[in-house]
Amino acid sequence: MEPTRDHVTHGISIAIRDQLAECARVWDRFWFASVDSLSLCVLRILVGGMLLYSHLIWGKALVEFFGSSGWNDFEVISVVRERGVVPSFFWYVPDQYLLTAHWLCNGVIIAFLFGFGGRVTALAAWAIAVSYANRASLATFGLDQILCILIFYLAIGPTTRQLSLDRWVNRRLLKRQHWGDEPSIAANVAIRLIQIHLCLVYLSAGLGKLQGEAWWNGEAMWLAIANYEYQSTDLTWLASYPRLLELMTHVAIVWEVIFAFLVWPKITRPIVLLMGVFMHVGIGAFLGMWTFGLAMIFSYVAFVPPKLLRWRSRSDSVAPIAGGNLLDAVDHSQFADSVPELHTTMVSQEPDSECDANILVSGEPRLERLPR
Amino acid sequence: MGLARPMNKHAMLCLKVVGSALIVAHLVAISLAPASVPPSSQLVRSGWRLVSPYLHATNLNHGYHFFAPEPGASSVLEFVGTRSDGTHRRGRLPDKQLMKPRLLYHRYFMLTEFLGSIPETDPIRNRVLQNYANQLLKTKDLESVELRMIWHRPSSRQEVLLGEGLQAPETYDRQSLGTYTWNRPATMSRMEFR
Repeated sequence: MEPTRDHVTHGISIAIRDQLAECARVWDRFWFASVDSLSLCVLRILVGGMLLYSHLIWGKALVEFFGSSGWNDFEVISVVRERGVVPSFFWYVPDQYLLTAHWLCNGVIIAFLFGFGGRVTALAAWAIAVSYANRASLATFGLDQILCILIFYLAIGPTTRQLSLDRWVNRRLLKRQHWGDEPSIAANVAIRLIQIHLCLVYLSAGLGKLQGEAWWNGEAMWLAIANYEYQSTDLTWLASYPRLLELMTHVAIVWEVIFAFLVWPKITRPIVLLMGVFMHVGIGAFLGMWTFGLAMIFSYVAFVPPKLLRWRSRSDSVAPIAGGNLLDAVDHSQFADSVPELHTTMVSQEPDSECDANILVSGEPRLERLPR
Repeated sequence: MGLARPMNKHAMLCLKVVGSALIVAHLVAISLAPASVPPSSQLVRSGWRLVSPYLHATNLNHGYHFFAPEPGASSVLEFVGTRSDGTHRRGRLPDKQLMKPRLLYHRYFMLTEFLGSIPETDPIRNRVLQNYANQLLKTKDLESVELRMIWHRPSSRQEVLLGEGLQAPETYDRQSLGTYTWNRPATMSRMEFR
């Protein structure tokens, strides 16, 4: 019997529906799986430390940069922002209270660094970072951009569940034995947003560079090295090695453009991240921007699976990889029945029953208790 | 135990739908910021204008065009100030020797890079110059200050191979910006900015 037109239409609609359902499932697992919050907590410490350092340096010229008649003129900032909103509590702080406000802010940042106060402190730290960056926006650069990005996402996720004063208080003082062990959807959303935003940063940087001739003819790296105002280490001896300079230029631009694509597959991720570490160490060591370079390297923690961040024992892992990707989301489900570890991982992402939940918080997934 | 009770499936689905919509909106917004950097289409710029309040408020409105389209000349502000006793004081912004640590140097460097990025015809330039002059007058205790903009281009490989350093005189391009005394910049009208 030949298929009728209705049969064909019906078949196509089922295929489309299945594909859409599959897309929805992948999207759901990519964004809304529950994961270990360790990566976020490590990021909190690194970003909090850098934010504190940056603010201590602001403090060396506080009135100059934040005073009502300082370098950062409100009218100019307003024009630069195209008369848009420039939220900053500094607009309301009289000059005589600048120092007090500054040290209060540093206090909040220290609390954030040590993981005290949960999301409230994280949100306050983000508001502070944005307020400083907005008020002194004529004197800001990549460091402030990346710090604001990271803290924005850190404020979404649970950043004080581990390696924090909050954990210590809850476990030691309030005797909540398993506090902070639960995997979290918010942690996954925050990590995913950091990952995607980083890809956007590098892709934009790479595509922006491709508009310049020097990145095509291989001179760009020399132009950066020979910029006296940026230079912190003399690399002018490289002038004798033009091919090496060209190679460095090409590698840098290719790496920036492909980062967004090759950071997802597990096989290429370590290579891409390692190249990034080398590049940012170079920016720090030779162009004097250690703070920016380190902040970028810190952000790579979002791509590192929590199990690699745990140095104590393998059984500490309570939830699946936070550094996973779209491919993981598909692959894990396919092999779940045949690979016990992956099955554990899969179930732990979505605790549908109390049984699963108990396994999760115990910190040691036990296969025999999992419903088959 | 600290573990929340499993959420009702329907409520969870609603949350995920709302969350997905917010995520998509956010990703679109942060993508429009670098995409709107010129050259860009009218469509993208219109989209950016829609989301710019959100991007400004969250300080996520960045182009990420580091060293793009290519590394170029640096902008440095040179000044010669006159004190009330008639003595002079010279200096420059930024100054590697005076401004430490490096992060502080970089903050000042960004101020002069911003000044160097403003076209000469832009009315905002005069206001920035007066404001910078006011700062120098105040912090260096000067009566008047003469400003010069310096564009310091990177030396070429050939120049370095010929033995010229990165501070060879021919790599500096100077422009006098005038002499300034203390003057409170007036508030500019909206029209002046356009």
